[in-house]
Amino acid sequence: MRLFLLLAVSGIVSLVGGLYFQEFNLGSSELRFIADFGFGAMTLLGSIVTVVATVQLLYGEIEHRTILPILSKPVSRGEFLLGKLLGAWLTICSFIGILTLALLAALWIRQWQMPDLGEEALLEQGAVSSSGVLLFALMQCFRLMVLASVTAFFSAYASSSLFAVFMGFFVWVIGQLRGSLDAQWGEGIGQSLLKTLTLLIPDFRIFDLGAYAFGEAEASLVSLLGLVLYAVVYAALYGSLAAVVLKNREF
Amino acid sequence: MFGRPAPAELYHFSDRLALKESVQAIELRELTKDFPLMERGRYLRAVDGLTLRIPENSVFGLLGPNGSGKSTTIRMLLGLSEPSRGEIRIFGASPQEAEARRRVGYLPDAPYYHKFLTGRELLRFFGKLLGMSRSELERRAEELLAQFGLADAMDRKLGAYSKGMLQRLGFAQALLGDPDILVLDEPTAGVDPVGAAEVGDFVRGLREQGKTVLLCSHLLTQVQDLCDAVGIMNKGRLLASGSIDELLGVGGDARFAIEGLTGSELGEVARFAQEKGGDLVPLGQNLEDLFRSLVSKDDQRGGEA
Amino acid sequence: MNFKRRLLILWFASSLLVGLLTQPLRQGAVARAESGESLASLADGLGQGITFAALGGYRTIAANFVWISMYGDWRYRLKGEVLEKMQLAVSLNPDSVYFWVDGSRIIANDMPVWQVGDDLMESLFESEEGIAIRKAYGEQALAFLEQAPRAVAQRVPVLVEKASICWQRLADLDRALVYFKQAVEKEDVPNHICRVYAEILVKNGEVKKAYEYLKSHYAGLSDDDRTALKPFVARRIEELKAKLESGS
Repeated sequence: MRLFLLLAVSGIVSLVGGLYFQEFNLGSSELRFIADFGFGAMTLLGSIVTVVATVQLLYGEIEHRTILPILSKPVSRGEFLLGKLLGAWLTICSFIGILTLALLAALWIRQWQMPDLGEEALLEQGAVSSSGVLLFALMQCFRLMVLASVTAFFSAYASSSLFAVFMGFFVWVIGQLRGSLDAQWGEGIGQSLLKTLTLLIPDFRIFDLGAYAFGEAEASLVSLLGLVLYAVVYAALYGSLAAVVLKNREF
Repeated sequence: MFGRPAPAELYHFSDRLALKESVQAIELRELTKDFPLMERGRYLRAVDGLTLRIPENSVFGLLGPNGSGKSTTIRMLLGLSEPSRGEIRIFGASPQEAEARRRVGYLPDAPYYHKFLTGRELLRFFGKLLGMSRSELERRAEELLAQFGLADAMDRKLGAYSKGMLQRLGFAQALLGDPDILVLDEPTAGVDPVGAAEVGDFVRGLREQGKTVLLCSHLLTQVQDLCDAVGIMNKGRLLASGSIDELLGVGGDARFAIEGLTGSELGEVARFAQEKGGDLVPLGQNLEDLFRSLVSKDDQRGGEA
Repeated sequence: MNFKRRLLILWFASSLLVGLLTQPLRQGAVARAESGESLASLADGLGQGITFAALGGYRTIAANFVWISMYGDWRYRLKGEVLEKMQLAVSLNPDSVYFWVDGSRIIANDMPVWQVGDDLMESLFESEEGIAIRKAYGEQALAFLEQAPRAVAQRVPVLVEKASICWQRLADLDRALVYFKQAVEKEDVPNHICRVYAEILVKNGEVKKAYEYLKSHYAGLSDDDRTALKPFVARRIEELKAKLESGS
């Protein structure tokens, strides 16, 4: 809880910083710069909240042995895991929600400070659409849901919290780089092998929908549902793997 | 534990206990638990062919030194660990079934509870896991917290509870679902003598209510007073089990102390007993003596092997 | 088989299966994500790229800081460091037109001077060796701009930058005209670029083409637009017409 608050405050402070760090802004519009700060807080701090909260919620129970009286009650390990994952997701969604509200407020304040600019001028300036921000935030919830499931899988297997945290972040980084990695590899067998290997890790980059907020792309319902489906399938896969590990774990 | 001799035929009265016409609350049949070691193909046998029957409405003491397999047995009984071989029955059902676990209340050997909850919140949490209705849960939680002297502290965070308070809260959570079986793992650990005496009274009360209690404790005098029957474990094996009276030799199997002999005369008696195929067994005046004698003898056998 | 091995096989098989099944969903989304914030190229900065990948949306801000720190190296003319940081910044935020244009200018205009020295700056246009150095950096600047994502590469400032490098650094008017043509076909092209395009056509000996172009450009100019300089354009059309007539 303390960490959650700390990160939420950091996110909001970073947003406020965005309002005052305009001199570091190079070549992008002011509103977009603020939005970048908000999106950055959501993804970076969101990933920290996700990994730490999931490890704390799941591995923390194992480490502190608070899981013993719980599992001795008529609760199956699958139910226990599902509860923990839902708890982690709720934490993530609350965090993203707080930052989204803060970002929308920051954008509103800045727009309000620039009353002379008409709508056309704002568009030229690079306006940030509220619906785009909400869409970005929603997709972060789904992206971090996948990360929570992956972290739960490692937490169920881990014998130290450090291992679970490390693996959670490792998959996060690889998942962010996945697209770039297979684009960088050469031709031939190496390429095919790497592409096969990259299939093993979820692609986290595809949830970056900043372009929608900046009016650079149009959102289609089908593509968004596709993304949600992608997230749900991966969350279910790693959730199931975590359940298998937990079922076989000795306490 | 590997390459050890087969369990010696020691004192087993459990079959005689089982002959009694009573419902078995807990049954362990040839229960074995192996933990794999880092070396390929090697394993540690934590529990070795344990067979026990604990009838309903009795207090059974499971005794043994540290590392004897008591905790592993309890964890298997609670469905927290899978047996490598053998089976466990709780009123005829496997502990893997949620309904079987619903009939068991568990007091862990240490207060493994969330420190950020209050006493009342902890009971609410466990009550929800038990599927209790809100009104029933509130009523029962307050009743139990009052019964265990925690009425004033129920809205305080557990981080501020003393060891004794946490232990009492543990009893409250174990009793929350009104279970038929209570598994009490070291209920007197870290509790002062007054608290330990209260635990004794509480266990007697449970028996009066018709509950079955499985008790692990190092306070052998208290166990002797409280338990209807005990099982003594060492290195995963059951060395002896039966009612206190049977184990201590009161009745047909009584053994007698030899007094007034010198060391060499005692040696002659021992040789005589061995010639006749017997052995000189130290007298079990009380549970503590019997426990020590059985465990040290088993350790010697293990060492020789 | 022990549990660890079974788990590894289960993870591998199920992840591969899910990876294959979700491939169509992913590919559709990749195209969209590439137009947004993604790492454009990590060929030269993979190590740092990995560090920054974890930053998520903070990448664009990190890119700004990298660019600012690049200016520190620029002051001391540290060519290697400048190129590395420029590469990293555009990897982190490939959508910034500013990075691409400013970076290409540093390569094309500043780096040749760093190489020959301030005193011999004129040699870049006079001596054979100097001209070769100038052209080599011009090509390098063009290659830098070629790495820009498609959406950025098609923006007017980038096209104009490519054209001006070809024109002024490489003295290759044919190539410059290709880029200018692409630029003037954009809707948001500023009027002065159109006029420059016409002048380059004239400079390249394509007077008729310049005349035709300016006529069509003039037809589309608004009376209210002060940047259109309609009288100036009309006068220039007349001049070109006269030139064509005298020429024929």
